[in-house]
Amino acid sequence: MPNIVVDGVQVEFKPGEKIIDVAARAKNVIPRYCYHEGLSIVAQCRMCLVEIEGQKKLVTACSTPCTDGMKVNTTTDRVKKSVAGVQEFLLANHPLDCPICDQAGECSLQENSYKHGNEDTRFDFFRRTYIDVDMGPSIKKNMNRCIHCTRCIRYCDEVGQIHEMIAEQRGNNTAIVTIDDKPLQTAYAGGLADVCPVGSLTTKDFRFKKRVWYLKTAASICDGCSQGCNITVSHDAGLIYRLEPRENQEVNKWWMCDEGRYGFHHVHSPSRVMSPTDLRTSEMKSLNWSEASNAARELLKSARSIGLLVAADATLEEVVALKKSFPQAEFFSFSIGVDKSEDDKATDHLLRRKDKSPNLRGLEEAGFKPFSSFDPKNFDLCVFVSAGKVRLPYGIAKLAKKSIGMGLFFKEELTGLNLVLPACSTYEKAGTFVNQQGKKQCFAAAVQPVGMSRPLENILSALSDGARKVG
Amino acid sequence: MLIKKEQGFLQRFYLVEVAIGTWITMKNWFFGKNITIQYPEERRTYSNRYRGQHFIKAVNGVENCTACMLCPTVCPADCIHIEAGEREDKEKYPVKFEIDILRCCFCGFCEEACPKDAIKLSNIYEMADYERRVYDKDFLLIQRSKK
Repeated sequence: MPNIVVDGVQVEFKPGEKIIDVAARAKNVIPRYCYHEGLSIVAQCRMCLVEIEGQKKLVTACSTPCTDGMKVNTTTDRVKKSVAGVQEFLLANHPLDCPICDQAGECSLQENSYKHGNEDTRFDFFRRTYIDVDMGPSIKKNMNRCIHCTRCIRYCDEVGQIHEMIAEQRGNNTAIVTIDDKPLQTAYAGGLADVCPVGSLTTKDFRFKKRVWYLKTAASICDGCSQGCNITVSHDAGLIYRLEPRENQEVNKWWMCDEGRYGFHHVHSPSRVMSPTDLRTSEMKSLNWSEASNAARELLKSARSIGLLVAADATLEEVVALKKSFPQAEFFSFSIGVDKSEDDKATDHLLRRKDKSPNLRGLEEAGFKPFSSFDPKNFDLCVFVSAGKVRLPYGIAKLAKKSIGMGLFFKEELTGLNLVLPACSTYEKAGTFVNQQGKKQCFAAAVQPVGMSRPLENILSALSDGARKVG
Repeated sequence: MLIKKEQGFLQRFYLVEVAIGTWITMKNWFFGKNITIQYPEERRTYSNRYRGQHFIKAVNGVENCTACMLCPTVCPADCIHIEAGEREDKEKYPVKFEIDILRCCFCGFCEEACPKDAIKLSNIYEMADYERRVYDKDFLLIQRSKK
């Protein structure tokens, strides 16, 4: 393998790799604004300038391919002076509104200013200001903060594959706008906030909710569709604040769609059922867990045949627990968009799938029958398991003779159910999903279960005595 | 080991020592300066840097605070609670700004961290109350310092 030397450290590279990537592998992160691994290279921010021995001029590390034996210096006085100069030019017009800006704390401009910039500003003229135009429901723009890295323009072209953002005018007056000031069309608009190195494009959903340094993160899997995008859940004090994509080259690369990004609000919805609820009488009654498991046992004892309709966002672990608890029962899977995983197909060029559940393939591998063959009238007792975002068909419980709901239910969905045992949503439990490629992906729990909700495995083990006697 | 101090005749006589002691007391009684003051009619003056009750500075009726959350971040007693919002005349402002004064340890870090000079500690030290109070935004916005 050929080598280059970055600041005295020898690093191997594959032919064609750029200096910035190879240096990052040697834990030497060269500052950058316009460069992003997932986007094309423009080398226009000039922040990643490095010195190569034997070359007169500084070169951009993001666009220069490595050659064998190349000696790269990132800490010489020339490089330092150049980087500090670039930083000073960017800060000349950047407003000092970090207390207001949502990006503060994870802002490249802030970080690079601390690491490479000057301590004070020499610019005492009026700063350039713009008037902002609304960019649709997902993204809030603040053009004054923009440093013109054009990542957003390339993101729309290459990831969203809709040419809708452009740089208007030029020089000092450059404005990054959508064409004709139209709102964004792309279904991946939220990613603009991720690629923007400053606080120029931020999501409206997360706006002013929390400062980023309070957030704790957990690695998770998006439960929005069968793609199974890898995500990071940012949470604090038991509340989820935002979801962000996590790099996985085999599944979602660096991206995720808006549908998944904003698909966590149901977890903390005020209408979510948070305690075991008895609906057998006309009035709704909240129970404690021992009363609830007694009630469930009663229902299970009287039933001779049991059918389980499981929404396809149950984890493999929950599937095993269900199979063990109801050995004689029949199992059906339910997903939105498709009936069987073979009907699943991509609905756009990048990530989104027709199957709007994360684990339909896992359920099918476990021997679950498709929803089309499910008839609630065939069973004495139906158990509806709704383990996450997938909503079971409205009113199906009314067709069943008797029914228990396990999992995540909302108050407006309770018609026809006899008993509801609240369990966890995807971000409150750990488990494994099988995505559309057949890839098994494990994830950890991000937050504690809301209210009296318990993991499904715990609920089932409390019921197991009653369940084994049935049938 | 106990160190025994040698005492002279007059000290052992005792009565002379009592007389001397009484003289010192009487001297302070008749000619000494009063240490106590007639509070609350009389009050001491404190340094301008005294860290007393909090207030939020307002300019032309608009609070300086932009809800940047630096004061709750730096607060060692975890007694400041802020919720941010947006309104017409101000991009970001505190919808809720509460100080749990019973938890506060008056370290003044919030004042030091504030980039907008919004939260300040005044010279007011009389904070006794009949109930356990949480200072809300309206209370804090009343200008309460000596100015």
